[in-house]
Order: sequence, then C-alpha cells, then structure tokens
Amino acid sequence: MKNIVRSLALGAATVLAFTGCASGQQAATGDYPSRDIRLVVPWAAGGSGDLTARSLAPLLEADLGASIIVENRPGANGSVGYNWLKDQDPDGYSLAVMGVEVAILQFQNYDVDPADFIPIGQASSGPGAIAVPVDSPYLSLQDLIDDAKANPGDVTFSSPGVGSVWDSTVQGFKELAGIELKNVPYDGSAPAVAAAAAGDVDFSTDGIGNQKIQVDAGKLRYLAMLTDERDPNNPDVPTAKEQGVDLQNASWIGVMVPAGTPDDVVQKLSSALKTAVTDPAYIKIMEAANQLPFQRDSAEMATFIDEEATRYGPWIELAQRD
Amino acid sequence: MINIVASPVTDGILAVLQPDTLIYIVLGICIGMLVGAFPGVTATMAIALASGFTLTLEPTQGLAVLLTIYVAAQFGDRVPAILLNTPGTPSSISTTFDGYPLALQGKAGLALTTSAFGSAVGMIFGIAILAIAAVPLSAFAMQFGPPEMFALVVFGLTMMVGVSSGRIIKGLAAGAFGLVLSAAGRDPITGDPRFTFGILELNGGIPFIAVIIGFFGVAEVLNQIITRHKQHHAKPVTQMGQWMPDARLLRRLAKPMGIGAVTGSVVGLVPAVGGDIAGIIAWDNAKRASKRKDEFGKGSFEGLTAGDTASTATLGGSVATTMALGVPGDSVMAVMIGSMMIWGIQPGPALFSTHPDLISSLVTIMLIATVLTLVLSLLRMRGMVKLLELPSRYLWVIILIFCMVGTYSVSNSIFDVFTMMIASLVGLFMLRFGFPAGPAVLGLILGPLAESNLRRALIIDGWASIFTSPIAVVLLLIALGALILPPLRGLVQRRKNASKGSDLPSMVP
Repeated sequence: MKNIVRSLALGAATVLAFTGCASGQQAATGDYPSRDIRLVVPWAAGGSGDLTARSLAPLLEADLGASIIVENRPGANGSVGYNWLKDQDPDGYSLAVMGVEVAILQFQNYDVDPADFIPIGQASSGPGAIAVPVDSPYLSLQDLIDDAKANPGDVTFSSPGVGSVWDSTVQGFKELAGIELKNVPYDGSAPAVAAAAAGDVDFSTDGIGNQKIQVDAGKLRYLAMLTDERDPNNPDVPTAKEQGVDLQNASWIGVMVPAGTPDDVVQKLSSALKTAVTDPAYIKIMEAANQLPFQRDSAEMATFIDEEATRYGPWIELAQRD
Repeated sequence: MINIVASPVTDGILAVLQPDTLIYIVLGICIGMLVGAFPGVTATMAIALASGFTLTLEPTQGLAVLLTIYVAAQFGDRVPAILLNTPGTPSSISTTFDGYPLALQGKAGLALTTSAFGSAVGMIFGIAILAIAAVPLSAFAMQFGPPEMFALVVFGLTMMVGVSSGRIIKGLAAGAFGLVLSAAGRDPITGDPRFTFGILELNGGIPFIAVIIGFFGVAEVLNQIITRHKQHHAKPVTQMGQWMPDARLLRRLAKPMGIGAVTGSVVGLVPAVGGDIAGIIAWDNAKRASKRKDEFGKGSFEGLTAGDTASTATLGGSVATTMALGVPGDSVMAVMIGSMMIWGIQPGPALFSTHPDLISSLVTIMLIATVLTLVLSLLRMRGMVKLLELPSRYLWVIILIFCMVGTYSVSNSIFDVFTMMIASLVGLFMLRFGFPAGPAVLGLILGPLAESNLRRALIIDGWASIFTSPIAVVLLLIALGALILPPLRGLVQRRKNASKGSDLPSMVP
C-alpha cells in the first residue's frame, strides 16, 4: 500500500516537473500563448461544426503548445456564443467557431455584427446542391423552372430553417430564375433532406454531403450542383450554371476572435489554423463527414465575410417579404 | 472450437465478443449509469462528449461505448426520479408520476427493482424489433410526414387529461400554461421573434430540461423545506421494505409491461420523438387498461412499469429508424450519426446492404449492455439508497447543488440556471395549489412539435394534406376518442346506476 502511494506521488511529481519545463520553454520563446485557450462552439455538441472544432483542437494544441478547451455555448442560432465572444478580453485566449450566421444574423433582428470580430480563417466548406425525389418528373433544372412558372407557388422545397444558408440560397434561385416557390422549413438538415426523400416536398436544397445519404440509398437524385465546377465525386451531375442559373453557394465553418485582438496574435493563430486545416488527419475526418477541408487565412476571410454579407442581405430581405 | 458457418450475422456477433470490445462496453455502462443519475446531464450530451474520444477507435468498439452509454443512461436516470422526484433525463418524466409516491410510501426499494426490470424488458423488446424487422418498420416510419407527425402529437397532447390524475380543470390549466411557455422563441416558419422580450437566450425557446428540473426536483425540495415541521408523521424513505417483486406482483405487471413495450416501440420508430413522450403515453394507456386506475399517480407499480418499459422500448425503434433511414430517431442518434460517418458507416437505406454484419453487432452490443446494466443496477441499488439516510437538510443541499450544476452543464449557460430557479418557484406554487406538473411539461415539449408540423402540413397542401392521410385521420380519431370516451363512459355508468335505483356512487367530493 505504502509503495503504491509512493509511486503515485512520484508519478505526480514527474508530471508536474514535465509540465513545469514545458511552460518554462514557452515563456522563453514568446509570451503567447502562455495559458489555456478556450474555443467556444456556438452550437450544441454533436453537429458538424462541433466535430470540426473537436478535430481542430488537438492539431492547434500541437502547433501552439497550449491546451485548447472546447466548450459548447449553444442557443439562438449561434448568437449566444457569438455574443459571449464579443464580451471576452481580446487577448487571443478566447476563440469561437463561426458559420455563415456571423455575416447574416444582422439581417434577422439579431445583435450580431461581423465588425465585432476578427476572423482567424476558414476550416471547411460544404457546397450545396439541388436534389429531387428519385421518381420526380424533373430531369433537369429547366424542368423544375418550367413547372414553377406554369404553377406559380405550387412547387415546394424543404430547407433546414428560416434564414438558414440553404433557405437563403433558394431565395437567390427564385430571383435568378424568376419563379415562385413555397418554402417548408424543417428543424435542421437531416429532417429537411429526409422530407424530400419521402416525397413530402418537391425538392431539397442543402449541402451535397447532407443529401449524399439519401442519394446513395436511391431515394434522392441530384438535379444541379451549386458549385463553380462539376463535383469530382459526381461528374455526371451538371452545375446550375451549366443549366442557365448562375447560382453557387456553400456553407462554411471558420474560427474567430473578438475585435481588438493584437495583430501578431491573430497572425500566429491564423498560421496555426492553416497548419491544422492542411493536416492529413483533419482532411481525413472532414472527408468522412462529407465536408470539404478548405483554408482561407485571416485577411482573405475578412474579405470573404464582407462578400457573404452583401450577397445574403438581399436574399434574406426577399425571404422576409414572402 | 465449433466451426461456425461464416455469415454476416455471426460475423457481427463475433466482432462484439472480442475481449477489448467487452471492456469498452463495461466502460460505457459505467459512464452511462453515472450520467443518467445526474439530473441535467443527458445521454445526448455524454455521447457527444464521448464521441470525441471514440473517433480513433475501431467502429465496433466505438459503437460499443456510445450505445452502452445510451442504454445504461436509461437505467441510471430512474434512480433520482424515484428517490428525489427529479428525472435524471427527460425519459424518466413518467417515472416520477408513480415512482416518487411509492418512495414516499416506503416502497422505494421495490420501486427501484421493478423499474429496472421494466426498463430491461422494454429494452429487450425494442432490440428484438430492431433485430427482426428494422427494414420493413423503417418503411413505416418513412410514412410519417408533417400531417402524420401533427396527428401523433395531438394524440400525445390528449394525455394531459390522463396525467392530471383526476384534477382535470387544474391539469388543463397547467397544460395550457406549458403550451404558452412553448410559444416563446423564434417562429419555426417565419423566423420572427415571439415573446423574447429582447432576451437573447429566449430566441431558442424556453430550455425545457431546466424547466423539468425546476418543476419536479427543486420544487419538491422547496416544498419539503416549507413543510418540514409537518412531515414527521410520514414514513421515512429509507424504510425500504421489500426489495424483490413477488410472483403475484410480477403477474400483475405483465399487462402494463406489454402495453409499455408496444407503445414504446411504435413511438420509437417515429423520427424525432423519444422516450419522454413514449413513457407518458404508455403510462396513460396502462391507466386506461388497468383495474386499479385510482392508484395511478399515487404510487402504482403498474404505472411505473408501463412508463419505464415504454421509454426504454423506444431505443430499438430509434436505432432502427436512424440506421435504416439516415434520419435521427432522437437527439442521441443525431449525435451518433456524426460519429458513424467518421467511421465510414453511412446510416441510411443503403446501410443494410453495405454492412449486413452491423445490425447483429448493434443488437449484440445492446443486449449485453442491457443485461449487464440490469445486474449492476440491482447490485448497487442498496448503496444508492444509503444516500437517503442523510438528515434531510444535507440531502436538500446536495439535491439543489446537483440540480444547479446539472442545469448549467446542459449548455454552459447561467440563463438556464435562472430559468430553472424561476420554474422551481412556479412548480412550488403548482404543487401547493394542486396543479399537476405533468401536463405543463407535456405542453412545453409537444407544443413546438404540434405547431411546426401543422404549419408545414398547411404549407404543403392546406388542410387537405391532413384529411387525406389515413395515418393522420386514424390518429386524430383515436385522440378524439381519448378525449370524449372517459366522460361518456362515466355518464353511461351513472345512468345505469340511476335506473337500477341505486345511489350515485360516492366518488370524489
């Protein structure tokens, strides 16, 4: 018994000594980071955003040499987490995962302003597609548009929620094709895609990866990819652009810090994120989860968020007028 | 060694019977039982956190950890429901209806064991369904679009009458209160804020786990503190009395177990509806079918068993729906889909042809987990109950701390803790003035489901979409029957008595 206690004590002392050495080293090479970093996920545990954060954390830890604590602060479309981040000290020890909501919640009566944050970079991308039930009469995007023109407002689509990425995308589609469609919002992507697979609605607009389950099962059929080029995994499916509707959209996930964070800290985090996102282990996890690993640095991300806000603003206004 | 013919079924079973996989199962059981017993910490959350660690495991081992947490939490959460009137997870809301009254009558030991047996029976029934009929039954689940979901939820809402335990007017008032609470948050179709009063957190609606903990657990503690001087005549909960159910009781419980198992399996198949609702529906069904209706809500072993059997029987159905459709059967399965995709297992209609061995692996994991958890539950119960021998003032403090920490941990939010405290005051008021908490919670959980599915159905094809769906029509007729039959039967009974010339039965004053 005494021996066990002694060896436990010895073990603990060794661990302490090692951690002491490690932190000493950090202090010598630079003052950031010198303590644990919090990475807040503004969504509930278990989604693809949560998965991204938890896959990035160990890689960022390895690069930065500090522990990263992943914490979920879900609620109100992510705005609970974003508002929490806004109130933290801009010292680089409080980070949050972000989605496109950062750019677009401002159009939906939420107090979320992209100017309150500095982006660190992008981590993944989830390009979208339009898919129809496998026995649908629509064989091309044009069939769908023709039907919607002949019967305005009778064609229904499922979206993962009002004001979501994919709901807004369809607003853009309506505008470009000059058609009326009926939105049936569901509570998230899985039920929305399943509703289309069951034939409850006429089509689904969602991430290619989210629709893949039902497409592989032979319940859904891709009608058009909302990408610039054809999707390498589905080379037979034409893009919307090829079919005369110049519409591209993708959901994305990135990381940000509160506005006012010193530039050298932002740069250090940005390069750590770049290393993590290009790591084969991370790429493997993302691909298995039907997400596309995608990297943008801090400056590119800032421009991109501005572009997203300009793009989504009119779409959301259009949705609110319905 | 017997030479077993290699088939996907035996492959799947053998994959689970590896020593290292079995170790992971035991690990999952320990986590699951702890998690279940801790109010506020749900199986969903535990599995989401555990999935971070299981990603690097082999798929079978990872699934073993996650599934056993899911299974074991269903046993663990009964303990605080029975002993403290606090559901460990929402699945054991119906456990509090009869479990806590039984504990107050000094039958906590027997309540714990029958609850564990009921849960095990429900689990095994659900697993059997998963093993035999996962694919055809999931086709049935696919039939549940917005109109059918709406009808099912309306049927669920009629349970308010049943769980009012005789106080119909007060029960309906509490139910209406729950429905009003559920209207707060963003409109599910237009996204406009409703009753948010500028409070950011209310955009997501009122957090219902916080309300459940407040209504049931903390309200009860507050009530005990207020009435502590009057409570001395009550039997202390620590007088456990009988532990094991005798043959007579078991025979009596066969019927509610059957009702619970069937109800739970059907409800489990429907996507997005889980053990909380199944437990309440089965409790009410068992009450209708019982010869001792008046015991329900006041300490009925039948009610306890029906609810617990049903809420665990949903697991088989949930797993079947998830695996066969790729649509999460409940919030736990939503998390598990994410992990499975990382392992290269894509749930969905194609799964059973690409991974035929998986289903037998799943069934084996869940069976082993159920049996081990049942044994562990029975063994450790005496220890758990020791906690109640503490003087009540210490116990109150412990429960209050548990409830607060648990509520906070749901989403790391102090707002949830305040909601819980306000709910506990409301719950105390309801308790003191005889308003049952069951209908209020039912309204809070089912209100948003009823609203969003009705509105989806109306967008798709107006009222026609509801009246042209046979499933929806049948469910709505059953709901109507559930509402008008009991009073009608009462009327007929009174007429009969009157014509016989006998006096009106001296019922409740």
